[in-house]
Amino acid sequence: MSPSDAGGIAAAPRLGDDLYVAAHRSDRWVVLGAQVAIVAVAVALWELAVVKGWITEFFFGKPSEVLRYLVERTKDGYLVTHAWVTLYEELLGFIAGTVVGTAAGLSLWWSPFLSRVLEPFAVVLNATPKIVIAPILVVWFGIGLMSKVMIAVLICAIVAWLGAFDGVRNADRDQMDMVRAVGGKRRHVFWKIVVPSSLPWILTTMRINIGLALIGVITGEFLSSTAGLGYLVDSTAKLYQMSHTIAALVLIAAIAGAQFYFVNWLERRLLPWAEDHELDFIT
Amino acid sequence: MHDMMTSPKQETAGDAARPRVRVEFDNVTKVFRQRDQQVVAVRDMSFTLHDREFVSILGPSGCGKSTTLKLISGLDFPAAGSVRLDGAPVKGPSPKVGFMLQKDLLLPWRTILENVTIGLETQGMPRAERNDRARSLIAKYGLGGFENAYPRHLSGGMRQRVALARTLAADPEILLLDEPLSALDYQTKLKMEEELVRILQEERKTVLLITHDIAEAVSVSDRVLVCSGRPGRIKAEFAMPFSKGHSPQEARNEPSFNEHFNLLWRELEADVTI
Repeated sequence: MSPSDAGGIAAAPRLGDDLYVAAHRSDRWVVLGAQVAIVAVAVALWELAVVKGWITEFFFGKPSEVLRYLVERTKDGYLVTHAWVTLYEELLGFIAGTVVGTAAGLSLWWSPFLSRVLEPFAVVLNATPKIVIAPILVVWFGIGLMSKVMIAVLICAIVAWLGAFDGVRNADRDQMDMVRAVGGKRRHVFWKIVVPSSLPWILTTMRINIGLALIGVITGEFLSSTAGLGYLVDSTAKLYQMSHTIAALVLIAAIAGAQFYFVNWLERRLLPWAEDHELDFIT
Repeated sequence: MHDMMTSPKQETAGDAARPRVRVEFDNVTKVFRQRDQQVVAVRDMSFTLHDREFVSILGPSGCGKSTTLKLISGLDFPAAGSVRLDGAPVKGPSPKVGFMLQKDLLLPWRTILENVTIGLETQGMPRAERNDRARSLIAKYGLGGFENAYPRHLSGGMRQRVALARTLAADPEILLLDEPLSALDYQTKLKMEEELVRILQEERKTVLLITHDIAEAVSVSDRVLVCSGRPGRIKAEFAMPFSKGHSPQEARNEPSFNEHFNLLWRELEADVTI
């Protein structure tokens, strides 16, 4: 059984390999082409509508002006400064919050009593929109960088804590018994079963958190600030400089998109066993 | 069965006629709490397992078979009575005992090699040494070339062989098997049964197999203990003649196989409710 079995599995993919991959690759280019086309057509229509006077630049902005603003003010460093402030606040908050929250959630495994005590708090915190703490934190930490960082830290810590806690509770009892039966102590059960089986939960919370952290710092910037992309959106919109507001929006979207793909990449690196990213010939 | 209970200790190591007692269940009772109810999983269960013996516990589901296994492996403890391993009460998992369940319990985030070495890691064996040992076991069980594959790439039968390699890597003397093959399709199961029995005989292990498959119990065991429904206890014991010198397949073809099969079936029948 074994040699034929092994041979069959090792040899089978080879045959269909190239054709299958090639078919998917050409698909991918078609999809990408369609995506670029949608953006190009939408922007072109928008520009046309403004030029023809169907809509006013005052209310809707103008793509060519957005582009001019993006290029010129990136060159003179103005946009770079604002983008950097937002990115700095967000990443600092995201990293600190995720680390603290994840560690707290995972360590609850060591105390079933504490997890039972904390369970209802977790449920209520999870159901509450976390952004409501933003005004309080602005009062506590002022209008500078610190209040935005703390908003992101708190939101990320709560979500990461809940996620890691969930992962811990879903760890497989039989797998833990197996590790104990082959001679593992509690620390082995923790590091070899609880932590790795919580990883999918942790990565899911990272995916959620990277977005929430951005929402958090931008909300903080809306509330009170002197720099950052949120400040730029808020201040230009109040002056009806729509093209500039939209330019800031584009930058925010670019940051959010890049981060999403980064977490995706991270997930593939950390969970090679769970992902469907490789072509799975063996059913 | 009666003489086992009246003379629980057979301190005769080296005596070929009566091998020494390895595992001993002495009037064991185990109670669980389910919601607000008490469930007696096992009541006053007594049996012994001698060195290098292949014993099966056969019974309907819910007769406390898995409880029995957890008690021997030191993952759980009796409410009354005692479970002894080589004469000493079981206080926790022992390296002498290994188990294999219906679920292969392979860790999806570990490669095949890493799954096999997990027990050796917890025992602190150096990486090079444990990888060497795992590689030779993997090759021995026909999985060579799959060291770096993940469990999801393997079929059910292959996964169970990895589980066997993981269990045997720590070199236990006593093996507890809880329906290890029952999740496999019938043909794979028969093949695996042949392999498993051959390996366990070669390695000269003491085996306790928990099963509800009568034919399996007849063809592989030295002795079969028939277990009653909840609360579980041993209600009869039969010696089986086929385990020595026969593979399970050969045993099934023996003329007296059906006779032994029917003997066990009649004993079980009383507990079967459809």
